[in-house]
Amino acid sequence: MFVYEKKLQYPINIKTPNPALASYIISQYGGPDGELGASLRYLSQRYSMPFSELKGLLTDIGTEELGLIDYL
Amino acid sequence: MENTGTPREDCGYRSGLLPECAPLALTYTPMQQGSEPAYATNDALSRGTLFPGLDLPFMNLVNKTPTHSTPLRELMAIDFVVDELELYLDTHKNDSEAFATYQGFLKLAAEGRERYVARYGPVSQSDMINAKSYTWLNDPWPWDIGANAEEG
Repeated sequence: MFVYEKKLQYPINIKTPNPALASYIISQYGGPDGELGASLRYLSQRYSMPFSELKGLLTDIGTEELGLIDYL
Repeated sequence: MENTGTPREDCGYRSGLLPECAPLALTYTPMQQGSEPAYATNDALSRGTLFPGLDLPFMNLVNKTPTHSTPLRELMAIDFVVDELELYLDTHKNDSEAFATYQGFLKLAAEGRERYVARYGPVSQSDMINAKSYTWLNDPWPWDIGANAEEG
């Protein structure tokens, strides 16, 4: 279960909008190399992870990857 | 495989493909040690890691800490250190020194959040426990322009 925090982990302040660059950046949202896929991969790999240290690590990393969607 | 120290001209290494006679390379991944030194809170957020030992800036381009700080940035910096210590403790659960540091930062984060929420509104919905109305919907949201402006 997740709780949403209404803030980013790192400040973003776009001074010069750049649509060409934006089209590259948005490709990191979904798709095979996107944050959405990355976060779900980490979070589902937990279920077959035998070591508690790595269950914890996959949980933390998967959660942070979900947070990155708000940046994009 | 012979290794003369200079690439062989007949090897075709300029063609952009991996040539047959390419020398082998060894990769090396250092393990993070216990009781690592740490950056100051604000520097950690700028550097992107709490641990100087893990700080390998791409092309030596270093992100500088802004000279002026905002309440949101301070909260982000403390929360970032908490996240970093959680990742470290996931694989070093018996490092009692790091755990004490972690607890200290949890306390700082809780206090910092209380001050921030009193002034700017809820960060999570449970922060509205003392609010007079349902302020969760107030702008800005994290993706709004200016929500993260350095001048706050």
